[in-house]
Order: sequence, then structure tokens, then C-alpha cells
Amino acid sequence: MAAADIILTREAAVQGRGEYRARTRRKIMILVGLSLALCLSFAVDLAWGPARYGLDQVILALIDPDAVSAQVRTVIWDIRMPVAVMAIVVGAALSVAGAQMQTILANPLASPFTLGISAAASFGAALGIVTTVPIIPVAAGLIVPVNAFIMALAATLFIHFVSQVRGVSVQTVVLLGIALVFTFNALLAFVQYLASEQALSQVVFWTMGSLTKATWPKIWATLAVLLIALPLFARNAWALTAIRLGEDKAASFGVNVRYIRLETMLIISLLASVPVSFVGTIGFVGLVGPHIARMILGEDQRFFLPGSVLAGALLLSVTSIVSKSILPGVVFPIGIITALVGVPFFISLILSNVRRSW
Amino acid sequence: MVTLQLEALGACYGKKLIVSDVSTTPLKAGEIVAVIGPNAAGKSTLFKRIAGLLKGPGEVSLTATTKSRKAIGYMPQDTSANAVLTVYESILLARKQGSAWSVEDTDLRFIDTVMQALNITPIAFRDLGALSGGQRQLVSIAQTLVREPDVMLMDEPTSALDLHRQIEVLSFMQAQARLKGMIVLIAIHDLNQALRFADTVLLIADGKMRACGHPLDVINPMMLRDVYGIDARIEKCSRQFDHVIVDGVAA
Amino acid sequence: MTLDPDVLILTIGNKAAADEVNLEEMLSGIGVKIVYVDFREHIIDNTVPSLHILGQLFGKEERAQEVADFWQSKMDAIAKVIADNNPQRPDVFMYRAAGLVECCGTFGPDNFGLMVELAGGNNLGSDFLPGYTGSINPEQVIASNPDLIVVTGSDWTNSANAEGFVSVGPGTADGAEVSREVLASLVEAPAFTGSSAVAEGNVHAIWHQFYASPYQFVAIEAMAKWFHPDLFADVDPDATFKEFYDRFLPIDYQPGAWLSLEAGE
Repeated sequence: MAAADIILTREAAVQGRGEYRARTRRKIMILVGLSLALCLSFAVDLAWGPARYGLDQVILALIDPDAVSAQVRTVIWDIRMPVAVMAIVVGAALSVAGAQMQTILANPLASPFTLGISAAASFGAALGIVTTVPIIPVAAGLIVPVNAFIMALAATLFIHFVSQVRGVSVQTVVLLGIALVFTFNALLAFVQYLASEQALSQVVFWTMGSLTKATWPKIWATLAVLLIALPLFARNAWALTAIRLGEDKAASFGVNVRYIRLETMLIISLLASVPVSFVGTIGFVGLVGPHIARMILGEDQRFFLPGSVLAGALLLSVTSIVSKSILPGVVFPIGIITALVGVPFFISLILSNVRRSW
Repeated sequence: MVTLQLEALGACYGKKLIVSDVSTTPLKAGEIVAVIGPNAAGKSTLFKRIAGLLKGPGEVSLTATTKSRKAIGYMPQDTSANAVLTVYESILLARKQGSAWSVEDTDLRFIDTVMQALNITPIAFRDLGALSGGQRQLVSIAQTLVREPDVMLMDEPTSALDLHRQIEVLSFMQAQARLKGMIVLIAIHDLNQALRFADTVLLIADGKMRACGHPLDVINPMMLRDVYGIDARIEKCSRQFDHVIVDGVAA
Repeated sequence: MTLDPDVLILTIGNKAAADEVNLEEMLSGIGVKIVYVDFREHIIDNTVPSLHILGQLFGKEERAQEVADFWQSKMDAIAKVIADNNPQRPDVFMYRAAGLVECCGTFGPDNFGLMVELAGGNNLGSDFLPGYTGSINPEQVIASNPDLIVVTGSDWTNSANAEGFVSVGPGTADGAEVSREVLASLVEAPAFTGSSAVAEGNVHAIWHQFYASPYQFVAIEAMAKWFHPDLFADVDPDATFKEFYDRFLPIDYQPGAWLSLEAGE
């Protein structure tokens, strides 16, 4: 009974505890580092653009808008600022949505983009652009985003409930997602076929995704969704981490797996569709962001959750800078760039030894 | 004082009754119960029912030190999940459910103690994905232990362990049960280990309870022929533990 | 095909698609010939030949010649003034289909972009866009500080999602005041903050449909007059357009194909 004596009488060597605390401090430092990198990227996004203002001008415009010319003020506050902020909130929202999708579906390839939620939103938006028929009655100006949102929500709920009926197997959900991608792409093509040339070019632009559509109301709406979602996820941090150990294991820790899954799916549908309905399809952020966070921070949600937020935001913020630097005077649709970065990543994910951790 | 009694317990998947009519004598604190039976007999299903993860008829009468779900600790058979978590994190996770993010030193101390007792301190900061099957089982046991349950349901906890480790873990569990007044139910295929460590043996076959009682009353040549289809005897080893000596497959 | 035509007229933009399915061969089998015309992709090279083709088709070769001559004479006249005087070219931002396309949709070096060059302006979009249309960074518009802004517009009342477009085009003259208000609000967009165009009131709107028509010369005249009011003081695009209508079109001329922010120009 030597083992029993140990557990009761002798305290274990301090090694494990100390090492754990050290690792926690390191992870906090990484989060701080990511935050600083994000601040830097945001600053560069604000300071950089075809109107080559000096840093002093930019800083002055930020701290005392009245002290600079109307042009500088407009460029910084009305043109660069909404895009720079939108990049951050959209990147964060999509990345968190992807992170939690990967968590509860236990699949490294899950993201709003790969499971058809973005495709659903695109279809809803195209329907709005081409037919101007709202799915629910809303003001004319809101038809496109609201349609996109409703279709995305419908797709998410469809995935969730059908997979529930079938007994929630991970494979079922992923296959369903792929089916949704095909379905909505076909429907989108159908709508495009019916579209006038003018509407068509709008649809194409929309499906590519672009931050130039950023406006303050859109930013506030996306931020609001993010601020609702994050505390809810944070509250479930331990439970969500536990779900990664398998359904039975999580249940054995007292986690109500079914309930957490439904709650998480609902929040994901909001997080994924609201940005898509505002800025179009920006793919792969929801895939790449969480993977970066997982690689450097692991999957303890207390670090993985903020890590995904920061990684996604940083990713899209840097992409925003790249998108206006490739061709002078032109803003490349950001979705093209995230796809160009994301696809190789996606393939390497499939081929690499990432299998180890799934 | 912890007591547990299963009364005409059944377990359903959906509407289908998989296990039915499992009744035990009142199980007492400190008791080790070996749950035995052929493959697919319903052992895991029974455990899930007791743990409250499945519904079904009958009743689990439990007197515990706490009313919460924590009273029953269930260790699932499947330990294959690969999250990007270290062993240490995954054990902490078992102890720290709820919404508070902060981790107290007392939690960490307890984890260190349990890990040392199970001799897994050297792998504390390895990723789960890098572990062998046996190591995974030890981690899973640690996860169940750190929740400090009154009743432990361990679904084949030693199936991937070497003989030395099997004896080590089972005697450790036995000692823990005695010291802490736990009731430990262990689903196990190794009848010799059941005979060595169990106070009570519960035999399940085809979703029904066949017997429940003293190990030697349940594990006997007649039962071995009926349920397992083998010819065997029971004999004592040099340290006076009963063993199943298998002669061969029954004619 | 149920109409049993002799000839199928396609715009040149459809040629690639038609070639892919061997349409020419397919149709010649049933005695239908394909004719391609172009008033959009290469407005300089293709307009006159296209007019001749249509003339030949309808047996009105002489009349086609007259239209072509008229077109050529007007184009030559503008080109000559520009060549002779070699004026300083103002920077012009073409705001393409405002109200239908988000800011800042514009034209590259073709079509309206080319018309701007022919009218003696420097088309800003040509510096940034390789293609015929596209969008440029609103901030770039500020940085480029255009001397003139020309918005293309049309009566898009029935178009989906059109909001805040400038309704110009034949027969819209009555609504000029409303259109001017729309135009004024359009140039309040961030992209035009502090531009000399807005400061000097050099903001104009022109009928979008000039982009695919054989009377681009009217648009060029109108723009030339905006770009170089002194050089083209005696040019009257309105009269030119009316003359064109009176001589060649079966309907009466209706003014309103362009307007300027400052009335009475």
C-alpha cells in the first residue's frame, strides 16, 4: 500500500506545479505579444495608404482631429479607420467561430467557410442583390445583409439539428457541411445565371469579400456579436476544452455535452454570418486563425479562445495592409488574398503530421 | 458513509433497452466491485446508466458525501482523443469544471500528488497525442481520481497496461477505496485480477445480470462453461489468491 | 431561330463564347450568318466599320456612310483642337455608375477612360486599373486630387439596389434639379474631401449609356467643353446631338444626357 501512503502523507515534488505555473506565464506572455503585434498591425494599417501622410500627421489626426486638414481627417477617420477596425473585428469573429467549430465538431478542417455557412450567406446575399426579395420584411438597404444572415443561420441550424437526429457523429456533420457548400454554390450559380450584368458584377464582388464595404454601423454590429459571444464561450471554457477529450470523457466531468454543443452552434452561426453578411466571403481566416492559436498556445480554452481572437484579428489586419499594397491605388478584395494564403495552409493541414493532435 | 445499490436497473439507447434488470446487494464504502462478462455484454452501457449519461428503468440508490454529479466518477473506456493539451492540463481540466478561470494552488497540489501516486509525473508535460495506450489509461485514471468521487466507475482501466502496472494500479485503487471509503466498480476481462482484488463480482451477459455476489460464488467452473464457453478450474497461487486455470475451449 | 433570320448580329464581346461552341459553323448549316459589331471595346477602331457593316446589312450603305462621316468629322474636330493647342490635361476622375456601384468604381484606359483622353483630359483610373472597369481606393482619389469629377448616371429607377444615382439621359431634363441635388450629395463622399474639383465646382454627370453607342463623340464633345471651356467655347454638344437625332434617328431629340453641378453652364 505504498502508493496510498504517498497520496495521503507525503506531498508530491513541486516540479509539476511549478512547471505548470511557468507554462501559464509563458502563454500569457504569448497573448501579450500577439496583442502588441495586433496593435502594431493596426497602427500600420492606419498610417499606410496611397495618400502618403507623415506619421506626425497621422498621430495628430488621431489625437486631435481638428488640428489637421479636412483631407487628412477624412482619410484617417472615414477611409482608413473603418477598414482597419473592420479587419480586426471580422478576423476575430471568423477565427473564434472557426475555433469553436473545430472544438465541438472535433474536426481540424471545420470552419464557417469549409462547412458551407459562408456559402449559405453568399447565396442569401446574391438572392437579395438579384431579386431584391427579402426573406423577412426589412428596409431596402438591409436586404442583402439580412438575407445573408438568415441563410447562414439556417445552414448552421440545419447542420446542427440534422446531425442531432442522426446521433451526432463528427463525420456526419462534416459531410453535411460539404453537401451544403455544393448546394449553396449551385444555388448561387443559378441566381447568377438569372442576374442582369450589373447585378452580376455586384454579386461577384460580394462573393469575393472586401473590407471596403466597412461602415461604422456594420462595425458596431459585428463587435456587438463578438462581445456577446466571447463571455458565453469564456464561461464554458473548461467544458469546451473537455469536449476535445471526447463526448464520454466530457460527460464524465459533468459537462452537458448536448446543451453546450447547441449553445455553441447558435453562437457560431451569429459569429460566422454577421461578418459575412457585411463584407462578403472572407475564407480561411476561420481555419488558419485557430490553427495558429492552437500551435502556439494549445487547446486550453482559457488561452486558445483569446489566442484565436488575436490570431484571426492579426491575420486579417495584416492582410488588409497587403490588400492595399499589391497594386497602388487599388484595394484588392481581401477574400482573394486570404484564399491565396489559406489554400496552401489547408492542403498542408491535410497532408502534414497535424494528424498527431487529432 | 457511502452506499450504493442498483435496483432493477436498465439502460436504453433511444428507445431500445440494452441492459435490463441489474440488481445488487447494498454495496458498502471501501468495496471493490468487478463487473465481468463477455464482449458486448453491456458493461459499458451499464456504467453510462449509473453515471447518468443514459436513461432507463430502475434505480441507482446512492448515499454520497455530496449531492452533485461529482459524486460518481466515470472513466470511459475510450482514451483515444488527441487534444493539443499536456497531460497536466488534461488532469487539471477534470478537476476544474465550472465557469471560474482561476486555478488554485490546492488544486495543483492535489494533481501533483495523484500524478506521483500513479507514477506519471515524468510525462506531465507531454502532449496527449504523444502518449502510448497504457499511459493514456493512467492519465484517464488520474482524471477520474482528481475529481474525488464517492463512486468510481472504471471501464477496463487496465486493458492496455503491462502486468506489473495492472497489479500496481489495482492495488492502489483498492487501497484508495479502503482509505477514502469509496466504492469502485471496475469493468474487467481479466478474471484473475477480479478474483484477486474484488470484494463483489457482478456478471453481465447479453444485457442481463447473471449473478452478483462473492467472487468465488460467481466465478466458478460452471459459469465459465455457460457464459464463456471454456473448461476451467479455480486454484490458489502460492500467495493464496484464487486463479482461473483454463484447460481449453469447452466441447 | 424560330424567326428564321438570315443574319445574327452579335456584339464583339460575345465572340469568344460563340467561337467556343462553333456557333458560326453551326448556324451556317441552317443558312444563318453571324455579324459582329462593336461600339464598346474599341471605340476608335471599330465604330466606323461597325456602322458600315450595319449599313451593308440593311442596304443603307450611303446612309451609313453619312453617319460615319458625321462621326469622323466630329471626332477629327476635337482631336485637331487638342493636337493644335496641346493644352495642359486636367486630372479627371470618372465615377462609374454612382449609386449602382460603390465608391470608387471607375474606368481604366478604355471606353470612358479613352473618351476622357480624347477630350483632352487625364483619366485617373488609367493609372491604376489595367482593365476596362474596376474600383480604386477612395483614398487614392483624395491623393490624386482630381480637377474634375464626371459621374456616369442613368435612369436606374427599375434597377435592383440602385440608390442615389444621377438620372441623366434623353428625356431627363425635367428632373435636372433633383439630379443636381443627388450629384451634390454624391461628391460629399469621403473620397472627394477637399478635392479641387469640388472646390471649383467642376462636377458633372453624363449618361452612362454612352459607353456602348455610336454617338460617343457627343460625350467627348461635352467632356472636352468641361475640360477646356476656352478651347471649345464654340462647340455645342447639345446642338450636335440634336443634329444627329434630326438627321439620322426616327425619334425627336430629347435633351438631358448630361448636366453640371453648377447650373447654367
